[in-house]
Amino acid sequence: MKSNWQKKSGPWGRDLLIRKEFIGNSDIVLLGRTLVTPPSSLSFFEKNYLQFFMFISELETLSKTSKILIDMNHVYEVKTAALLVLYATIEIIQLRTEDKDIIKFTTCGNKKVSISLWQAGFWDITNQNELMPEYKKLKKELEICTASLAATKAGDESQLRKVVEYAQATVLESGLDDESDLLAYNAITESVSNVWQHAYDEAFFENGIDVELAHWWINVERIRDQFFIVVYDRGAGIPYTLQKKSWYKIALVDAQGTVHEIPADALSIKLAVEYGNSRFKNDNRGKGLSEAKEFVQSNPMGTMLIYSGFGDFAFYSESDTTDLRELPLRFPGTLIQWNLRLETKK
Amino acid sequence: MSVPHTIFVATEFGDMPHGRNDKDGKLNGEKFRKEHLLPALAEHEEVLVDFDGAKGCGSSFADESFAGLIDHEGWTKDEVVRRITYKFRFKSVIKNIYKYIDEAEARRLEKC
Repeated sequence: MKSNWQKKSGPWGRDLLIRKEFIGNSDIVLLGRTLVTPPSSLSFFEKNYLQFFMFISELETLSKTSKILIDMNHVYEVKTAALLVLYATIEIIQLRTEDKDIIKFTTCGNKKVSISLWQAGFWDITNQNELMPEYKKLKKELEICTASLAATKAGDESQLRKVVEYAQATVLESGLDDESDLLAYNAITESVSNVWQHAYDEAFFENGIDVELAHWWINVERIRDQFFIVVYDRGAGIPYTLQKKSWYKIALVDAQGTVHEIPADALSIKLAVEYGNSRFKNDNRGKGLSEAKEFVQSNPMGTMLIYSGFGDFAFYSESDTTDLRELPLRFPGTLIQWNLRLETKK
Repeated sequence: MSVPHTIFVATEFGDMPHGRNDKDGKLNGEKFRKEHLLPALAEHEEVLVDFDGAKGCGSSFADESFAGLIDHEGWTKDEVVRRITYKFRFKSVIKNIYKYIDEAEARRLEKC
């Protein structure tokens, strides 16, 4: 093992002289933790995708052998969807290692980033509430909510209730139309139902499901008259689950009877979204995604994003266009983000 | 004209009806159909399902509870429409229930 000294911004914003230890591939160890530097923009949209998931993968790999300190000094931007994936990754690592303290953060160099992490509940999940800044003048919004399959099977609806009540209170507070809180209720409960019905369907897991690790995570946020919902699971992924559906093979036959090859993942997601209203629909399943798209379509500022498998699906109501993209790395699970318009009575 | 028997969903079942079956938790549509709706229909000619007080009613729940009578219990649309009525401040929920019933009837007729 070699060692030397290096000047680096410390966890509380001060420069430190730290001993750089070379363990395997030159990871810095600080305060007994391996220091991991995330991308400066915590986002997986567009060009940030590879870098973000290399960071996530690094957390998963390192956590098998070491405690981790995430260096937030140089992060200047965070996206809600990426925060949700990061939160879920930390929670799963904690559950796997049975160690709530395995991952810690340094303080953030950027105040906006710090507020976002505080709002999302990162200091709670990493037991860092006492060390991190609190923003008493700001209204605390709802933190990321999560529930396991085990809790759901045991009848614990508390996390779902928290999201629903927050959403409905937000709608009421803003004096919006009565039916808007129904829209939010449906969007949230149907999303969760989709996760249990499809993503963690036992038929897709040869070795069964660990009911403690099977979770959904939800983040909701209201920005003016737009209500954003982001739902994440680490289940089988839409393209994979579709291949086991009987209607899916029929859908690959066009009107002329030509059988098409199994499409790339982004196209599979598009088929899943269209399934609820499609001519192939011969059962009572699969309302979730098509219904979500209907909500988005009725919103002039609506966007629906789905990441699953190697597919990236984006629908924009304003231009009525759908963008399909193949991802360079498999997305771990499924993330769906969309926004509803909270209509006013006027 | 007889007075229908009323099921008060929020107080007798739960104020967050959602989901299709046990995978979705305990307040699911299949459970409501089997443990509340069918027993009430066995005893009463007409049933009013009163959702007032509930936070909402998800489409999976509505589909599984009411269209489920046609999909899984051998009922026809005529019977469902004649014997069950609904009350809720959200009129779109009631509209959707009838839509799901129509869809289930179309599936039933396709199978005949």
